[in-house]
Amino acid sequence: MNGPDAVWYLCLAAFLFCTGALGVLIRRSPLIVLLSLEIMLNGSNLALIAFARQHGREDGQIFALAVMAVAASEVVVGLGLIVAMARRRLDLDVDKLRTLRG
Amino acid sequence: MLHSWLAFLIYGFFALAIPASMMVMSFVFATRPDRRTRARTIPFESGVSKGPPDQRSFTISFYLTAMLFIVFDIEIVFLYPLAVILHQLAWFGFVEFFFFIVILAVAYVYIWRKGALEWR
Amino acid sequence: MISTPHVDWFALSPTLALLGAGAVALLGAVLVPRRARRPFGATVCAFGFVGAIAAAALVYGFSADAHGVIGAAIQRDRLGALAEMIIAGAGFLAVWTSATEPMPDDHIAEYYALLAWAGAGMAFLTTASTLMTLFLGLEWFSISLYILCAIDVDLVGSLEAGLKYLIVGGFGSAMLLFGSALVYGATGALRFGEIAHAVAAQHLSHDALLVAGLALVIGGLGFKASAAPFHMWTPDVYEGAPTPVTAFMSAATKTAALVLTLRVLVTAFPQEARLWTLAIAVIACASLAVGNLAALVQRGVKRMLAYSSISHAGFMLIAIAANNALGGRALLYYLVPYSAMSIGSFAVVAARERELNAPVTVENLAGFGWERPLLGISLSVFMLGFAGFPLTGGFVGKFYVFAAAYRHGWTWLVIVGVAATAVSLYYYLGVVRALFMRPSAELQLAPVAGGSPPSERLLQTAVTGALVVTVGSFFAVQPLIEGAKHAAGVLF
Repeated sequence: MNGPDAVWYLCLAAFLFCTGALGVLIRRSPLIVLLSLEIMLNGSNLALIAFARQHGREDGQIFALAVMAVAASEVVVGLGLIVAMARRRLDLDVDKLRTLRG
Repeated sequence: MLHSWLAFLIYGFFALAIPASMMVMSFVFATRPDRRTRARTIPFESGVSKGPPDQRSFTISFYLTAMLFIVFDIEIVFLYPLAVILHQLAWFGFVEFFFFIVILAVAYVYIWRKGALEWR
Repeated sequence: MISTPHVDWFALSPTLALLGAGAVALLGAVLVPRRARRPFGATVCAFGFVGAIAAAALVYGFSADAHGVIGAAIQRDRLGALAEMIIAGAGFLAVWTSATEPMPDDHIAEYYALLAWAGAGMAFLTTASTLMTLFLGLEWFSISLYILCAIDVDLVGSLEAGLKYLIVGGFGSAMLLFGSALVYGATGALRFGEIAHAVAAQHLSHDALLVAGLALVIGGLGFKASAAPFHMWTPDVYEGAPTPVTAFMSAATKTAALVLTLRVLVTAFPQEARLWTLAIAVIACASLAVGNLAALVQRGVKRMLAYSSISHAGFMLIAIAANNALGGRALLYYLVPYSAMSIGSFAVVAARERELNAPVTVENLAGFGWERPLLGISLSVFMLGFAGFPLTGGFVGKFYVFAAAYRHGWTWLVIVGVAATAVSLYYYLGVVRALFMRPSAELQLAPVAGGSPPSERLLQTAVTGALVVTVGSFFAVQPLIEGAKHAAGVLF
């Protein structure tokens, strides 16, 4: 097979996933948090496609396509909520959404 | 060796040539070459300049339309695999895709009647 | 020539009934005159759920032999059909509960459409038999629920609840997806059966990719089932969302997520059973501890019920951790009274909320039992059922769960469960005490409208229905366990 081994793709995918996870955990702006969620999903997509190639199967690619559509829907719902909150002039800071007593 | 990289070279050539030609042509064919040269050197996309300094916020309609666009646009990803094997799938592909389009049509009728497509 | 899969529409019929009902309700939102939207949406949605129950019952009847359909993407079996019946039943009660909820008229039909779609996604999820259909089903109902939580824009905290649920839920989904990708990488298969087959054939059971993937999948499912330590969103979202939505979420989401957890762990990872039974047992203990201890100090009834739902996730995870036929039976049985009690108690909270026009706390439940005996007695029965008193299904459910753990040889897990039950008595009985045993001088709040409380026939019907199921599941143990036995027999 030409090109790098699937391990390298997996490393990049894991890096993307961790970057996204870190972003969700430490960033406060909901927009950046949504962005980080997308990065997590795209890291997973990269892993799926690399493995599909490695195993010589197509189902991983189809899975990745479906994930793209799902991710777009999720992010649109998130953006919609943010716009609705902005219209109501609520604080756009995920830490202030509610005192976390849990 | 060269053969396997040829496709990539062609791709890279176009990737460089298209933006380069856009920038060059915006200098060559601009009608008023002396004024506003600085605005033309900054990175731009689709001709939208960075805008006036007093950052005016977009209207809600802009976000609404953009969000609707994302959702409907992304459904295109399901067309690609279908297009590749359209003839082999025959009636099965037609029925499945018809079902998919019906679901989209319901959503379309909803947003149309709801007035989300009107620019306010 | 590509071989196209045969589409078994009958196996999909419960999902399709709800999908269709949702579509009709959504079109009703724009094509039906404004005043008729609420009854139209509610009726269509209720018929959708009834249709789904009927369809799932038919699928249950005609699927004695379990088999994969539609390219083995989903499994047509009695496990999925029984879970679909529970989910659709929960949805049906939720429709009745929402009937009198004061929601703005311009969103009401969309509300019912999303309720039906969330149910459709859950019904689809319980039949999933590949990692792809698992993820799609999960996101299908999750996205519907994100919007449902945020739909009542006039309600303080509703939007926040929606956004918070979206962020935490999206995090859980991404974890599950990355875990799926790792499992796919290790085995080269997406179908549950093929994963188990590949692991057995290639001796992968200690493969780092596979084990890491399994851990991430369990974590992702833990978020959806709101099991500790993945529970932190639960109290805030349950509190902020409109109460009928909370009722539906607490019952149906748990059913879908836990049944799917059982299915994926047993069918895709039988070789890792030693690992995941232990992991699930630890998560169950954490959920019991966190849920019960935090519930002790809550004053808001919705928050208290949220923590109680975390602790019940713990009980049901004990059944999964047992990894035997008795455990499967226990889980499926437990879900029936649990769903009914959960929806019923949130429905009563919704009624009190409307009466006071304020969040319900244990204090302002004082005397409610005397004011409205039907709702008061029902809430008491639900609380006693949660605590596991006899004459309610909660007793039998707990009994079976402990029996399953004991048969697996985990006496310590039984002890943890019994201790958790003992702790839970305190706050469950606290509610009963507030309802009936407070002197009338302590009645601080009167109904805002004054006079007699509003008669809410539809809501009372929902509460009565939940009451019948809660008590009925105690007396109808035999047929229910028989059904659960057939359903769990698919896996074990």
